Amino acid sequence: MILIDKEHTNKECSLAIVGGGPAGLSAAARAWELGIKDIMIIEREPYLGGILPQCIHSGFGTRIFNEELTGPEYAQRFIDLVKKTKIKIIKNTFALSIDKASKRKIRILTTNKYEGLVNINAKSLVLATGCRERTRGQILIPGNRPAGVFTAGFIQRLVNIEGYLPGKKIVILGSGDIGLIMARRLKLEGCDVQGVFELMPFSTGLKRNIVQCLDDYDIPLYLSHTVTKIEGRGSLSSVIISRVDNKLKPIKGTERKIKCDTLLLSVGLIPENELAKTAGILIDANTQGPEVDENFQTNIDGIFSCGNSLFVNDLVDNVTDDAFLAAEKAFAYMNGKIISRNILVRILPGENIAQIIPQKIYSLGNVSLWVRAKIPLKNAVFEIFTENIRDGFDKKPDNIIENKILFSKKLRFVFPGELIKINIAKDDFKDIADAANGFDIKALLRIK
Amino acid sequence: MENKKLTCISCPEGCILDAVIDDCRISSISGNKCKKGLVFAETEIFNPTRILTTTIRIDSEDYSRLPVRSSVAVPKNDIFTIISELKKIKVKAPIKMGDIVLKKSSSAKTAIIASMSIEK
Ligand SMILES: Cc1cc2nc3c(=O)[nH]c(=O)nc-3n(C[C@H](O)[C@H](O)[C@H](O)COP(=O)(O)OP(=O)(O)OC[C@H]3O[C@@H](n4cnc5c(N)ncnc54)[C@H](O)[C@@H]3O)c2cc1C
Repeated sequence: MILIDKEHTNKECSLAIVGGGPAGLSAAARAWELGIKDIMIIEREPYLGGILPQCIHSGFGTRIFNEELTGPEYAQRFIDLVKKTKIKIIKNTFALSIDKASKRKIRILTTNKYEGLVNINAKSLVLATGCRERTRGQILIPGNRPAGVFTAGFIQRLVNIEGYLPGKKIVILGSGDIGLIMARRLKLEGCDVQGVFELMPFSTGLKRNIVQCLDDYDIPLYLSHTVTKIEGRGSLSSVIISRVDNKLKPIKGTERKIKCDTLLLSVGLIPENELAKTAGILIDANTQGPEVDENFQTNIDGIFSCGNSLFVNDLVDNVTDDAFLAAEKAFAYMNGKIISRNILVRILPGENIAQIIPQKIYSLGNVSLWVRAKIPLKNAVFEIFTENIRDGFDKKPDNIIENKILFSKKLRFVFPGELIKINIAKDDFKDIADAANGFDIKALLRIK
Repeated sequence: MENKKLTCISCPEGCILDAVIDDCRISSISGNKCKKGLVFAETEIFNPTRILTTTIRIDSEDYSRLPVRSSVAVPKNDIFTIISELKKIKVKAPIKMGDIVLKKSSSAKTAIIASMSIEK
């Protein structure tokens, strides 16, 4: 914990944005368009664009720009846009902590090697700090701790930005999009990619990536497999792979040794919210991002969250849209148009749903929900119903209401790798809110 | 007559297509839920193309690699040839997004362009 010292240099602005990735840049561009004059983007790296400069493959912006751009191109378009404005870009600067200096003043303590500690005071704040990778510790593979075990994003940076290869014989654990993209990338650079191993019985990556990244290069994909041991003294020499049963437990007798010098772990991303936590922002256990309302406002007035720090997005186009909305709402807040009220409904994820954003809704209007499924389903239905027990523990009879379906929508297919957007019209939402009558509502996905 | 199985990548549904090829054309197709499947199968079977992305060396104060892409999709079979062409070149900053780093040639039938601007 760093204590904020009144002696630090102070800088003032109306809107501060932490993070200069696509979320931060999009929010800044929109805020400028709305007429907010003194905007500051705080970015810890020496360059803008977030993770996009290292995502050199194409597949970005198909919706926003109607073209298939590469990651650096998508970022460059927003960098060029922002550079034409008077938005202040503060690079090489780390945001350390946030607190509320007064009711309408948010204070961000930052540091850089030129000025030391600096307080940036803002009327409103957009958090766009992106996400970080899960590491090996978090999935606990037994064995030695040799060199040669890396996370996917780190290798992506090493290869695409620094220009180094991690090794020659590669094993990939995890078939999410980053794992698939890196399989192809390393193959193109001349590495021997032994295969992609996936714990689940399905890949969480997009089908198109399986075709374009694996099938095109004859890289095998092994579902229901995992790495059960890491071997090597000093550097990695081999890994042991096992099949897993339907409870995801390794099956004895299926072990197989694969020689390799690099193990690439593509085992997921987690929103980066260490900074948000310093402000006392509530974090949703499912998304690992801040709990927000329909305005992407956190539990702290004037602080908004968007992009991968709110929840892990698969499409940058959606990140831009949500960042635009966050900027619009921050603008409204600065003009006194968003006043905290009581929660109208709180939405909880039920069966087959991993995440729902926003977690709570304050006012009556059209509602958009982002939903992430836990498993792939064909001919599914999304349903909202009332949670029949208030507060979970309180089982007094008068607090139990019927399990009534309040909303339902058919979905031809759902897929964990792709977020589902559910739009609910104001009238339908009014019916839901009326029926819920202060109780929590729950959503689920099931086969029709 | 020949049978080909492929996964359509036109949309997330990922239909498994069964195409029957007769005399260098698709005589019948099944498994596709929409018309896009047929279009996809046509190009994928007779002239599969992909957008090529990689990085090349750059002389710059701030960066050591420049991300590049083919301006349009290239035939799948040309990918490794173009990659080895690109391994030979090194560019110098400043570079602007869209600048051509490798011109069209007999071995590379499409121009390769910079994906990012590097000032210095
Ligand atoms: C490998 C990979 C492949 C992808 N492929 C695709 C694709 O094909 N198509 C697509 O549409 N999307 C794709 N995505 C998703 C897309 O790239 C992300 O959704 C998007 O980049 C998220 O943007 P962001 O601004 O929220 O986060 P980021 O890009 O991570 O930016 C966050 C920024 O915040 C800065 N920051 C964090 N904390 C602090 C702090 N305390 N102080 C100062 N600065 C801070 C970071 O340095 C960073 O620059 C891919 C993502 C990955 C990782």
